[in-house]
Amino acid sequence: MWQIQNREREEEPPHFRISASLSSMLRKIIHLDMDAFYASIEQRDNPSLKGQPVIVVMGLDAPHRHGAVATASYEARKFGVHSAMPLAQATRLCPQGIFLPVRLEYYRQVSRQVMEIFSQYTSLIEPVSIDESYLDVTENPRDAVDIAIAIKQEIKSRLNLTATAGVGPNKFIAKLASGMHKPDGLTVVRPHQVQEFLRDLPVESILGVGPVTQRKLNSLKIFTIGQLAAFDRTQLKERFGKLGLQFYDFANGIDLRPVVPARSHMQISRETTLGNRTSMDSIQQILASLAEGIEDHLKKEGHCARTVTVKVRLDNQRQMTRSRTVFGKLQHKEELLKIALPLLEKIDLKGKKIRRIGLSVSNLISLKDPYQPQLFD
Amino acid sequence: MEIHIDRKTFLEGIQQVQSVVERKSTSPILSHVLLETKNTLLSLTATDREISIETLLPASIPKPGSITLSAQKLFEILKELPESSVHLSTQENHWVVLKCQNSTFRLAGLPKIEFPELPSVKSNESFELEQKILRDMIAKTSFAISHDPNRNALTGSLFRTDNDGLSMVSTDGHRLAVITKEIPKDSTLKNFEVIIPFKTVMEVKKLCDSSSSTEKREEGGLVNIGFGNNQIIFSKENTTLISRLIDAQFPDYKQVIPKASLYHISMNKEAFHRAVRRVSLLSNEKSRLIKFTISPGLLHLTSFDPELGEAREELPVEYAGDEVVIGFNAKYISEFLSVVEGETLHMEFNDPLSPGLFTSPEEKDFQCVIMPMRV
Repeated sequence: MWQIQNREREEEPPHFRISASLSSMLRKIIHLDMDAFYASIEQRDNPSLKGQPVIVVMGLDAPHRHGAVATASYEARKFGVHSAMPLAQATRLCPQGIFLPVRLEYYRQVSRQVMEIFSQYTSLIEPVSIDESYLDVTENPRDAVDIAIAIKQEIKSRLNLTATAGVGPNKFIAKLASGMHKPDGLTVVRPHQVQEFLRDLPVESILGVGPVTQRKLNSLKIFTIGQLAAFDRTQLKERFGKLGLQFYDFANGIDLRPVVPARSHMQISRETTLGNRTSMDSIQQILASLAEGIEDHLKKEGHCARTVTVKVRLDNQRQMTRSRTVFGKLQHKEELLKIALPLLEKIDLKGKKIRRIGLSVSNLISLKDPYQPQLFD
Repeated sequence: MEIHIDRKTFLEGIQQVQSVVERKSTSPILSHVLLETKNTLLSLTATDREISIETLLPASIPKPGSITLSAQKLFEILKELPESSVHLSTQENHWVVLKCQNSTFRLAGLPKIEFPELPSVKSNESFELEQKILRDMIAKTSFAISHDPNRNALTGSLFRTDNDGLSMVSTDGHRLAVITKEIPKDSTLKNFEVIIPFKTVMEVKKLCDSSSSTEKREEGGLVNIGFGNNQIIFSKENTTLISRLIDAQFPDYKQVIPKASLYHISMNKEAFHRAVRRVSLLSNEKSRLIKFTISPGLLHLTSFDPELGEAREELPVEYAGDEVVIGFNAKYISEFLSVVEGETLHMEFNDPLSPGLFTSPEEKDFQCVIMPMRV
């Protein structure tokens, strides 16, 4: 079942291609979840943290310990610490914990490296968050399980991190599968195993079944997905509306949601720290070299941008940004600078020195899409 | 107030002013039309605070006065009444009784005092233009007006004079339509440049369309146009329209009209228009892209939508250069072709990324510039 390939798909009329890709039984989906992503990166970069309860915190410097846990390492989870928990509570539960501030920009870089690994196996990658993605590997002739193993191995050898994978015929099954064995797990649900796999799972494992729905389902004597699958479909619709139909489909292992690839990186940015005596002229040159880097990146991905942002950090640590969105399409260094330089001039420096300068573009459009340029600049 | 008025005259008067009335207005008075006696005439006035229109109708007036009534209801009633004389009188608490043959309506009115004061415009400059010409200028350019409120200057038509003549220009930033009419040599008209809002443009077109008599419409009456205090006034026969102007800088449109082009293509306009309409049926709904592949003597039009399929058509053209591919939004081309006159269409451009100029040799004063799509 997994090996079914339709090599003549390109020749088929477009409408058939779409319905075929939606047919759940034909698909091979992998859900990949990086294990305790932020904490694992910190432990990898600082071996003395290995085996320690590492807790990465958002807003660690916030007054009155108002921060929140972003990620807890598996060692810290043993103390009951989990993400989104208030910092004060985490400190109480795990006083010996090693609390670190988030380094989001850095984690994003690592996330991009993970994406690069994925992209060797398929172009249909849907990032759900910085550490979680769906991959549709239907078009890849290799067995989905082989691909999942290869990806896990490559993440381990190249990035020294671990990921948990779930393999299934659709997104719902793949995600449930990856949740089975963590960390560093691999769970495979083949199409003929779907029913058995789902049967004894609690109903609250279904996406969208929260505590309220769970109570309502339990009152109907529905506790497991198997019981939900056997329930009357019309009654579910009457009680829960459209959502009821979705629960029913999920319970029967049906999920037609396609893997939707992210359009592109939401934003491309370059930044650099300036020396003590950087003159305004050389700042403009630095901005030009940042623009060059962005132009390369845009060209490589076949994209154009519509928004340019200039960001500066001053010697008093204050950060200021200025953005402009244009009607046209920007890609070349000169076009970017034409917008960026006036933005830089707009920033009121009040005699302060610029410590760090960054240039970024967002609002990206693919050059492959037909595009209507403007008559006027 | 008490008046007798011919039902047909009354209905035409209401039709003239009714479209100015703000339908979505939260203020009830703006959905009303003001009826006011002026000597031997009945004046009907409607306003949305930006545009005001007043028309004067002959009536018999036993008792002068004023009242406001719902424009929509009055229109609906007059439409249904038989061809006869209408008698209208005001009563206590702004009630209005309207009688026609055997029908009687009692309508809730509002006093004139609540009706917005119309702008008093002292026209510094005015000139007269044949309504036929003004109508033509609007009909040929209004389709290109932008409806994007973020681009204030483009939400109206530029109306201006310079050495070339009297021009009306509209653009939405992607395409531009410009029509220029000669000004008589003896004219003392000073150069001006104003932007007229879209709604006003459409009202003025309606004003030009209507006429109290068919002969006047055919012989082409005159419209008097005046300016002052950031307002423009159009008056024709018994009707006067005053509108706010758009206070913004219109882009330098002349710079985007190609002056000399490398590629020139001529074709039968009607055949081209039909081909564009057919091929556009399978163009992407959002981009409306049609690809034009032009080779000596032949134009290929193709469209493609990943979910629908594709369409292609070929058309004989007059062209002798190298093969070139250029893409345009089908809607932009089609809207121009719907208004341009003549049998032949001329298309020219310098490269597939620069503005294309569309003209008809039979209508030299009318040009349309369309920015090609990147394909």
